Amino acid sequence: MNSLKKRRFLIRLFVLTVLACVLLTAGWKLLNEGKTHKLEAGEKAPDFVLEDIQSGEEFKLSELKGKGVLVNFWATYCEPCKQEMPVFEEAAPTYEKQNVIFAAISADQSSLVINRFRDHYDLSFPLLKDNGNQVMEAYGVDALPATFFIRADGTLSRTVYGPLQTEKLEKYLDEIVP
Amino acid sequence: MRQCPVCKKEKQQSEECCSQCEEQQRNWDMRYDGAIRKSQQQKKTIIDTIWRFFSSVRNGMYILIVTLLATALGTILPQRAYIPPGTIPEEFYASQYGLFGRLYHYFRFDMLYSSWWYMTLLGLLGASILISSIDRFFPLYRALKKQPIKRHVSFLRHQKYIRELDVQAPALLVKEMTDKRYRVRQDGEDFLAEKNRFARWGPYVNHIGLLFILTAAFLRLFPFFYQDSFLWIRDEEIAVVPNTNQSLFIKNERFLVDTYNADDPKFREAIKLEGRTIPKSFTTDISIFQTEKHVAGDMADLDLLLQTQVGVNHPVKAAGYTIYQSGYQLNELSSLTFRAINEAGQAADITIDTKNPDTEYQLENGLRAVLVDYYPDYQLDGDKVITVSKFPRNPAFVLEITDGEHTESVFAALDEVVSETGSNRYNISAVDFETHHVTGLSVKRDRTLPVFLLGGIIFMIGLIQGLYWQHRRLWLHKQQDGTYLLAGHTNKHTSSFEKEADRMLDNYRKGGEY
Repeated sequence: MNSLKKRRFLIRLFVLTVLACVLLTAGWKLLNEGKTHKLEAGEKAPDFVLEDIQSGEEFKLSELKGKGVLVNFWATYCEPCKQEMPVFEEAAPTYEKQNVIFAAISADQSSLVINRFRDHYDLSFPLLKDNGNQVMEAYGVDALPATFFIRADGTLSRTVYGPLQTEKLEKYLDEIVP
Repeated sequence: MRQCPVCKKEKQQSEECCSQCEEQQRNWDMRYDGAIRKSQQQKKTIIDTIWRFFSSVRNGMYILIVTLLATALGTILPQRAYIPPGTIPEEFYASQYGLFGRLYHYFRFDMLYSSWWYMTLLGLLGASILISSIDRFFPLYRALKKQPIKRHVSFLRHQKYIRELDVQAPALLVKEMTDKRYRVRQDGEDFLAEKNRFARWGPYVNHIGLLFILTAAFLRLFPFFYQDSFLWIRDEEIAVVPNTNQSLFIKNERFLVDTYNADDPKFREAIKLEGRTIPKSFTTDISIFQTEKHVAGDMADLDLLLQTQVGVNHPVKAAGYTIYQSGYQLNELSSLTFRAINEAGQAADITIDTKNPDTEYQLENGLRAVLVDYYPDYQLDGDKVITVSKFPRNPAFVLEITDGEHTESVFAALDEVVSETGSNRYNISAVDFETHHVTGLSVKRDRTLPVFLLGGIIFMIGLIQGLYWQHRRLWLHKQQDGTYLLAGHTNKHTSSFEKEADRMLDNYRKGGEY
């Protein structure tokens, strides 16, 4: 009789636990509904190939193995992006010597707009133009700006969706120095 | 004052027992053949308390009623998914439905079916259905599976249908029963005739169907089972379908819209009333591309899967997805043409592409233009010109035009040309433009439909099983004095059961003649 009671208790506990898990999963899924899949630190950074606006050369992430890469998504019409650009420009030459490449992928449609922006801010690092938002989609970016810090082995060290805290930039960059 | 021996309440002196308890004592609760449901025994732990809550049909009904009311509430105004694409929900509800709409939006009833509390209600309903079924099915199954043929006299005497009989040849009565498709079993001199026991499982089968339907609703939360994305694609552009792991691409070859003719007297009034052109039909010629191991940004590795046309109410199925035509934007500017007149009075045109404009232009009248800056969707922010998007909805250009001697800098848009020196020496003005359209496609995948269908079928089977058959039992017991006691029970439609039993007795008495 006692073992029967125990079994009944265990069955009830099991059924209720399963139900609670289903409900929690549903709740968690609902909280994240409508949001694109975000990348997380430790994941492999999706490969991409885009044309460098200035040089016209192909810029392929997977060819930069062995180097740290900072990938920034921006657009000329995005205000917070404009504030980040001079900060990147200031850091880029120093870190380039330490094998960290900067790449800024623009959501703009027109190369002219991007080139004018480059002239205005006097930027020296590669500016790329996204191809029909493909790379943005691959990185789960639905709002600009977004910044990704990629280690030399191609994994993500940090993902920043939204404006970067510029005072932390150097700390984040030091983490991806090979 | 004396106490009732059953409910322990004080009772009036004239009665032996209070009438309610007497009723209870006379007729046994036959739902589970007199067995007590396990959850109704004394509660012990928190698990048991929760179990008891969900096993209660009354609580289940409360949950069901609240769920139904909530579901109804969500149908009063259109859900957010069904408002015109591109509108801002807050403004839409306020402008269309006033204060009520504003409140409806404020309380998030416009997204009711995916709200956490609605999902919680469905979860509670599922728990109630599952637990109350488990709690009832197993004792009933056990009771019916192991039911003895010989029953205690008190059990038989508590049945609603009781007949005292003088039966000489029970075999003939049994034959009457088997003729009515009863399954008769014998134990000593007692008989148990039973038919349609499977009707008792109807409600449980029905509940399994409901659980399938709730499971399907749950599965919709997973992208593998359900995906719904909306794409804006400009003419001649390729877009990646989100959340497909970059495996599906759609190219808008050409978007076509046909509008009702505003000059047609049949439609003139209606179009004037609407205040805008009304589309008759719109379709998109699309190419669908599929890839494996796509490198984002690369266009060379796309394989053409299908070239087709998608129109309103004519969706296209491809690569496990269904593509619907569900919106459009008209008249984005694809190019602008400006006219400039030189000193000699000769006019010449410059056409500037809005997607990928050139930087330098040589005009036929000897003038040269340099595109200094470009704002695809310009707006004035104080005294500064900014672009609010990358789409050429309202493009503006900063041009420097020179004849070698005089250089003129102008800000040129479709509706205005402002000369920075104030002179507009070359009389620049916009003379022409070309437009392109944007198609709105909705790409969906729903793998939960078979689960919904299966649930619905099981639900109906359970319903039919439980409604159109009745579980009927007759006990024939030989008493000590040699007479027989016939007791009967059915789970529904007592009167037709009693008629059937009486007719069998009649037939027996007539010796099998009808």
